[in-house]
Amino acid sequence: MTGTRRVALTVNGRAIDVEIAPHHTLLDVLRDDIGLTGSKSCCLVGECGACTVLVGDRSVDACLVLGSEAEGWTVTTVEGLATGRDLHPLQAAFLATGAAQCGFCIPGQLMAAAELLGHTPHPTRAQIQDGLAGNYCRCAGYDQIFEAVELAAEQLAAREPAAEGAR
Amino acid sequence: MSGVGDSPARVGGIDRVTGRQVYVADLRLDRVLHAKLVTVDAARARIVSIDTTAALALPGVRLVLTAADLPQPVARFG
Repeated sequence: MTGTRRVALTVNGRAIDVEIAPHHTLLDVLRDDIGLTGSKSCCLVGECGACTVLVGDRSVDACLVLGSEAEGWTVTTVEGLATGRDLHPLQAAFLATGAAQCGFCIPGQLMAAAELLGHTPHPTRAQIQDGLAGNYCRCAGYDQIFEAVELAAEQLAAREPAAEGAR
Repeated sequence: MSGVGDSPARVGGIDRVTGRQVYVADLRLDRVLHAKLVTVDAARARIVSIDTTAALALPGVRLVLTAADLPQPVARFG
C-alpha cells in the first residue's frame, strides 16, 4: 500500500486527527476513517447529493473533495445537527411531515436545507426547491421534504421573536 | 377503530433523520472478503472457456467462482 497522509480537521465540533489513504475523498474519511456513516456513498460523481455535508456554512458534496484537501476544515455532518438529545428543527420537521421514506437521501437533504436556512431564513417554496436541487430522492418524497423545510423555517423564526421584531 | 386518522410517529424516523440508520453499505464487519464481478466486454458472445489460473495466483484472491461451480444442472429462477 502506498503511504498514508495525516489530516487534521474538525468534524461536528470535535478535533479529528487521522491517517488516511491519499486517494480517500472527504466522504471516505468521514465514513471509513472516522466511522460517521450518516453521509451516504451513492453516485460518487457529485450529482445525487447523498454525500452533502457542510464545510463552514457551505454545502459540499464530500465525494468531490480529497480527504487531504480538508486539512483544517470545519465540517458538519448529519450526525452533528442535533444538540445532545435535542433534534435540530429541520430533523423534527422532517419527522413531522413524513419526509423520510427509505431515508437514504435524508442526511444530504438535511445538510442542504441547513445551508439554505443559514443564508435564506424565510425561503419561498421555489427557493427551497432551488436550494435542494442538488439532492435526489428516488422515493420522490420531495413535497414532504419541501414542506419540512418550510416548517423548520417557521419554527426557527418563532424561536427568535426579538430578531423578528428588529426587521 | 384505533389508528384511522392518527398521525403515528414513523417507525425508524428518528434513525433516518439523525444518520443513525445503518444501511447495508454502512455495515463494517471484520475479516470480510470483497467480491468483484468480472463481466464480459462484448455485447454478444459465446463463452468457450474461462481460465482462472492467473486470477487464483494473485495474492489475496481466496476464491474465483464461475458457472462451473454452480450445482449442475443450474437451477432456473423465476
